[in-house]
Amino acid sequence: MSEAIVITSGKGGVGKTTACANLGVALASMGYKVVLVDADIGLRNLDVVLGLENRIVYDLVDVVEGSCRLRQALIKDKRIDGLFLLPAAQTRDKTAVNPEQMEELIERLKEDHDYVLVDSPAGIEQGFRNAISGTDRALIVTTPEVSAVRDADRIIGMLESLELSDPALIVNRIKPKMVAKGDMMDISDIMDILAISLIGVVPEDEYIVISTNRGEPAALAANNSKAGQAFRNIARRISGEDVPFMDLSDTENWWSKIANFFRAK
Amino acid sequence: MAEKPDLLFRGTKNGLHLVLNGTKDFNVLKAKLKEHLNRADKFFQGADVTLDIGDAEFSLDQILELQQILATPHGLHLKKIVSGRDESKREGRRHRESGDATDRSVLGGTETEYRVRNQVTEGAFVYKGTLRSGQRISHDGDVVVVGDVNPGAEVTAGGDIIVMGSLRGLAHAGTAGAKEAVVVAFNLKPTQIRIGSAIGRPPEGDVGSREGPEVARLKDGVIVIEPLDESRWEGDW
Repeated sequence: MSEAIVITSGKGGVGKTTACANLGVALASMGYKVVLVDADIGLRNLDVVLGLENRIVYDLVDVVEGSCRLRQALIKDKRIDGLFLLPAAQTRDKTAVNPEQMEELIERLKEDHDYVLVDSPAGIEQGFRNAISGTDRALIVTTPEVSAVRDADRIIGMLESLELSDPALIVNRIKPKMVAKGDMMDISDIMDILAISLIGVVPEDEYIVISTNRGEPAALAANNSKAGQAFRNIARRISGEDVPFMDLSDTENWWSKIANFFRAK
Repeated sequence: MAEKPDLLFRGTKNGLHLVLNGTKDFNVLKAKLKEHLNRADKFFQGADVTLDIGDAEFSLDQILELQQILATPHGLHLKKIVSGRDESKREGRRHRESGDATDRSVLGGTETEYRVRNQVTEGAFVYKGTLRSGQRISHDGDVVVVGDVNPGAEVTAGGDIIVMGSLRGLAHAGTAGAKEAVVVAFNLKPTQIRIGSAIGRPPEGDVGSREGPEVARLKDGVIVIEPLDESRWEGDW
């Protein structure tokens, strides 16, 4: 049974595209057939994060308008079998497609893939409505900031009214050291407000910047970044596995470990 | 003084006035009301009813039951509920504040139907669930939220606002100018509270965490927040 999942946030810059790319890579690495749909028409990014921008010939709008066949627009990932990208058009805008067309497109993609991951644009306007059309569930990405949490709350409210119920939350870019000092919202503060299920916590990781610039998602098995591991765990949870949350305090450096060691005495 | 009748219907210019003797057992009152309505047959059909429960305390369920009896099959609309004791206190306070001579003389004539009624007793709106950012409830009467009110959400009520959860958003009670309106929450951490035309916001910076239910109300034109202990329920609001 295939599933279409939209990755959304309300606020921009919280890591929707990064999460989408990494979850796609992780799910495909587990052997699933996955297609990533970039619904951010006019501001396409997902192709860059995946390092596939120079392979684009046709895009989502071409498919919807019938200028090409769906198969022609799908870009096969260069590293992992079973991972495909349907890129957004860069020269058009959100009004180029409507929710009904998106719903039909997602249905067609679900026929051939185990997972359809839709990367939603920021905002609550037509782009967002397009992105959620035809999807079965939603993953909400937020960062531990008051502004991002408030926007996530807004999105959850909208999803509830659109009957896309039971969204799950990814808390991205958390800094365990700042949380420990009380300088950053912790998970319980966020869960207190949003009151939805938590599917993953991703630590702030400099490697994400490097991997995004290189077009090599951190979740590729070859690297050991904490964020990559967190995304692989989320992918396993999406597939129904019960994976314990990892201990993020390990990201502390050796000096604070020693300090903690003495403090514990 | 003769004993108060169990129930009394009075026609006023604002519709039908139903006075219940609250000292009697609720089931007896219910039976009497049914009997009375059946006897009246279609006489009261379609009338608006103001229910005066005097000093009695009825539960919400009981009120709803009464509403049901009135509504079917007799087609009466329960429009307003007044409680004599609260009413007189509220009126007294309001007139002390305004110091208006004509008002006082109206109050002096103790005819119930001539009292300046509290405008906010239109019945409560109950919302079950979390009110999220961008969502808004607006109601002429009281509003009860069984859940949280998150930052960016708004609750506007002509009467009181009761949040059975955390109030983190904006609450505006007494929009019609009712100065005795209150905002109650199990966890009162609002972005802003408005009562009537007064606006209050929490002090800047960390004021330490307070525990337990609290009530916000107007005191000398300023919104104050106090712990909600049982004695307050019996207080004069």
